[in-house]
Amino acid sequence: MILAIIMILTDWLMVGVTKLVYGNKVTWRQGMLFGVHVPENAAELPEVKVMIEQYQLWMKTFYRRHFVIGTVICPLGMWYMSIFFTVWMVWISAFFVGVMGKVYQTHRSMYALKMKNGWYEKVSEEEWVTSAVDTKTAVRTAKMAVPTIWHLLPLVLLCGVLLIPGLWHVMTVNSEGWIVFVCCLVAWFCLFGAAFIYSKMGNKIYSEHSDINFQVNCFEKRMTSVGFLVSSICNSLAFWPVAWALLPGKWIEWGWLGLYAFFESAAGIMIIVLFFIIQRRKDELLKRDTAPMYIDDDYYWRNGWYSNPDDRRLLIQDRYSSMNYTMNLGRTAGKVITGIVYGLVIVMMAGFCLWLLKIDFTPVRMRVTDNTVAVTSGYSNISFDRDEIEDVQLLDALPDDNFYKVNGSADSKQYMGKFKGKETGKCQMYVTLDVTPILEIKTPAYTVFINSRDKGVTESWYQELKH
Amino acid sequence: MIIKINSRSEIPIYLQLRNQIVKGIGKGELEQGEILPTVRQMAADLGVNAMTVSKAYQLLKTEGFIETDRRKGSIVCIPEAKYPTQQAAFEEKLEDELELLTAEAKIRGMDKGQFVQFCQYIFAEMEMVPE
Repeated sequence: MILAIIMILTDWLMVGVTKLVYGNKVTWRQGMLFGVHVPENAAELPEVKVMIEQYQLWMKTFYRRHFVIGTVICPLGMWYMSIFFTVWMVWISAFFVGVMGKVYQTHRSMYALKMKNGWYEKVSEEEWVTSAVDTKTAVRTAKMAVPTIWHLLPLVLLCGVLLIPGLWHVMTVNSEGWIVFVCCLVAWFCLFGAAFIYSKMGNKIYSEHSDINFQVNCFEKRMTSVGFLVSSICNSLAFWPVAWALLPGKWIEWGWLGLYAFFESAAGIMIIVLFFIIQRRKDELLKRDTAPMYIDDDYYWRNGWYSNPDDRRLLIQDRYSSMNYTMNLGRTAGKVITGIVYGLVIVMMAGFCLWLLKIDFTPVRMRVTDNTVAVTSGYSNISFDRDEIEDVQLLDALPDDNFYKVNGSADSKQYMGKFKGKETGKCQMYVTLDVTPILEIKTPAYTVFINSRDKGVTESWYQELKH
Repeated sequence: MIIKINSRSEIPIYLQLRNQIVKGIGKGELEQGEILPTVRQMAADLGVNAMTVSKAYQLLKTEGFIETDRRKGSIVCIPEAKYPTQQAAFEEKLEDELELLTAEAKIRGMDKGQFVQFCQYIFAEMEMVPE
């Protein structure tokens, strides 16, 4: 149920944010319409008006439809997790392919219209401008971003916690704490990497006036770098409540988890809020500009994506959303990285679905020999000596204990994997929840709870172990 | 000053960069003592290789249009006419290039008056105030 609610909210957020970014780009802004440099009055032409209307109508229908689909599929999470995620991944892929397909298609149509109507400065090939630099802005903005060395502060905040007396020992025993720590560390690396790459990026020219260029670039650089740093600090602080909760040697309770979620959410929200602040301020500054300057590099964007073999930059600011960066597909490295990223995403998505399907639909089996007991399932396999068995019981239900999952799968259908119970301690679960009885096997290392979906099989395992 | 580059031109980028900076000094868009972006910053803003910018800066330095300050980096300077060797070399270059341009102008049917008028117009655009 919780998963279904979380996924519904996630789907709404994704559809909403995508609509905000791509759904309303129908006005002439920064010299462009649909990402193509055209004169401001081009939007008044009948054929452009039709294009805008069609785009708006298509987007409206598309977002409504996907808002409904994204909501309707989430209750599947209460049934089989594997089926839900497979359907969800197909849906999310179709959603993004649909959005980007329409964006690229409209962009191409607009570019074709531009070429047809000659909406470009007719200059010889020698006079084309493909890039520009404002020397005054470049000199002054060099030191405007927060130096990346400041990212050592969140790293110290994160790793410093490990110096709290007793925590290292607790985390050695309760290895689950490391999972949270490593997640925070990975997030720190990502934010540091993003800040580092951003600091190496060049300025953008908006105007013939250096002051405007300086103000926009300076504000963008300062705020973005501050955003990365504050997000990283929030991410590091998120580990503190976890560490605090782990100190008594118990697993974290919901209250502490809530604090962890709060700090991690703050890290994400910070970046989104700053993006809108930057956008608003940028618009205000550019409105005051009397001599806007547009570098018409539409030729390199003619397919919808950027492809310029002469441009050394790999990451280019996206035309639809200045928060996004796109790969320069004109360079071999750009093609390779894009191919690897898309390949990895597809393989990981397919792999994850297959893995979940294996967990859900591989039957649990137990093989008892003279000396050993081996349990196999779609998630993990275990084996232990028969001598290790302290007690075997057939239960009508799982013990009345507070079990939490360490790894594996826990949904309304089954508990599969490594769990911990407040009273029971460490346990291995191979349990289909609506099937009884459940076999409980106690060993010194852990307790095994297991049952089979096939009638009578659990009882026969019990008999085998008893004799 | 805004330096514009055409990566599709047959003129090498480092030469375009050099020419634009010289024109900028001539037109007064770049003042004496003005700091130029670092090689890395200029390369990042233009989307060109740092070596290309370095080559242009090196050429400008040899010609006396910029000099390197340890703290400030590359700064604009105006080559002084009092150095006879540099001046003589420039006059030789000017004569050579003017000869070629004059020849082309004459071939294309331009008379002396028109040619001089063109030169005067271009010269008037150069607002640099020599010290």
